[in-house]
Amino acid sequence: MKFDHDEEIIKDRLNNIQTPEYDIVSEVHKKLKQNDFVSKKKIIRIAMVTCICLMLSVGVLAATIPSFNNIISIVSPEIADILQPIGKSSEDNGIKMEVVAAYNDDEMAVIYITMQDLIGDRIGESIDLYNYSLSKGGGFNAQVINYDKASKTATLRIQVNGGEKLNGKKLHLSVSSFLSDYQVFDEVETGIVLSDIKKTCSKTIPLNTEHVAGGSGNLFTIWKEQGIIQVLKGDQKNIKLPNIDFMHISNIGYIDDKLHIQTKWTGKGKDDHGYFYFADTEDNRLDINPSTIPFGIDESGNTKDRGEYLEYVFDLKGIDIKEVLLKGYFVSSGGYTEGDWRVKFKLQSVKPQKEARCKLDFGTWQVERIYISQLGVTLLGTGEYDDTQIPKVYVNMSDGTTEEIDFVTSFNREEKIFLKYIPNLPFDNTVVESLNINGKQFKLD
Amino acid sequence: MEEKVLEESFAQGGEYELECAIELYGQPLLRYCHNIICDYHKAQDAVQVTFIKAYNKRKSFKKGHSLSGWLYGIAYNTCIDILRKKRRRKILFFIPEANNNTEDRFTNFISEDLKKALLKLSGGERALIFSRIMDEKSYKELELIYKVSAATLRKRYERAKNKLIKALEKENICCKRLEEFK
Repeated sequence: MKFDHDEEIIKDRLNNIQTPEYDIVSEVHKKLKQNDFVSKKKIIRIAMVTCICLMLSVGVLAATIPSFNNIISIVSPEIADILQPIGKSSEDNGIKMEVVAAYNDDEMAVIYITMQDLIGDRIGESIDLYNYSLSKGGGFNAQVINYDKASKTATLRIQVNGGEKLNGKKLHLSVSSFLSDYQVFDEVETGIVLSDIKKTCSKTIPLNTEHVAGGSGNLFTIWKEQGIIQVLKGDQKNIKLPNIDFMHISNIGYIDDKLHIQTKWTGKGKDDHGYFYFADTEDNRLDINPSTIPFGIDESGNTKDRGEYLEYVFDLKGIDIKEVLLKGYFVSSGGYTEGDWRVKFKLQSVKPQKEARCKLDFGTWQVERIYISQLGVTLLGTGEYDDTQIPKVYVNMSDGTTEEIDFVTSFNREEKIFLKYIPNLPFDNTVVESLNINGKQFKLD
Repeated sequence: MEEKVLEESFAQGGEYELECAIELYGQPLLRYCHNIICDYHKAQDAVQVTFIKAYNKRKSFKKGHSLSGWLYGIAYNTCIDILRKKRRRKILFFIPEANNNTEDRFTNFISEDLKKALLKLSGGERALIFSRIMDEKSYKELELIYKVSAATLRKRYERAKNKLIKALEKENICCKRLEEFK
């Protein structure tokens, strides 16, 4: 293929992207066997990134917290030694939130909490924290890792960035609302025959786009600049979609050669959302993304900034509408619960017990120190890290065994390079005798 | 197994045919997904999901059609779904871009400035750029993957190409053009 000058430049830059090979066959086989799309190994590995041991008599403390052992059984027995038991709870609106345990290192913290409905069925396995905060740190995300039907208890893992800022600090975890009872409606057949929709005569109403918020797509930027755009006149149709009672199509038609699908969202779900898409006769999704604009309609039939309408706009140029089907994907969060759950607790991080000063030269960067904890080995250095030459690290134990750690993470902070070698499971660093880095032995103090 | 033979047997085949498909197309698809999502670990997930979907839907694959095109189509839609979910999570959890990317916590496979430039494009535009320039696919082949006419793809590609060049210039990782004007 002949490339022009710009294409040559792009090719040259994209060639710098490294995509290492890995064993796709065995990963796919594993998932086919498990019938499970969640890579548990990866989740555990990611969790491992976030830990450094807290040297407490965990056994004694943990025994006083009933839910602690439950967390251990859910995640992995091997993490018992590195989890900091917390066991503080808060109750409101018949729901109890407990901060069970946490672990933290200088980059991230992970906090395990449980939410239990003491009086009803508002908590299910699809619980999703909606409004929550932690007094320090940033970049939160929370996932359900377990749900116990019998006790109506969901266990969630909250990951927080900024572990260093959290060390030894009193933290306030506050949850004020959550969503639950998510229902997903995928591959929804709309039953709309696109060729039946007239390309002319759509009745429209003007919408001032200056104050509308939350639109999306390429056209949305243009609409915002235009200030006034035409949307379909409201409630001219009432097309219900199978099994969906939280929204319907309130109008459909063409404006300026673009297909507008007006929807009205009448459900009570705080996070009801979805999208339309086109599929060919073989059920393959087509790459036709809509632009969307949300708005309201007042009693006189005029538009206003906010409300329950969302108009999807598709540019179908070059598409044979006789050959495509209009389908949809919609999600409804049936439950929205508010309350005031707050817990104060202290998160600690212990400095690694063993370290060694060393001089290792990797050309563009040099290693000055090595740390070791139960969670792995950290190389600390300066210069320009070259990720094409990752040092090989072996841990030599006092019983004569050797463990290679091949899972590496790297990051920069304050002009220092950190390389973290994380084993699949924490090891007992008190029995680590020495390290072997690229064939060189290092004794640890 | 040869491509042509596999295209004949894939629909009626089993795990052996799936393995053959992974051997043939696994690595190219991984590179494709990596370029679209700009996150190596999510690209690994996307490739796995692609093959699982292909295996589960293998009966709908038509004998004699291009298996490569079919797989790329599935991979493309999988990547776009992942990007949609990622965007929603970002909005829902207010996760800043840097923290919403597993790559930041793992090894960097794409330099930060190149990633910044690539993220100025939509997932679809990145896919098109990669397909044309790195995979050197013809518009005829791309029609099969993206189910859009060649004329439309041509327009989209030109737009995406200009957008990326501008973004590369902005990130100062595209000096060749500037040198021309000197």
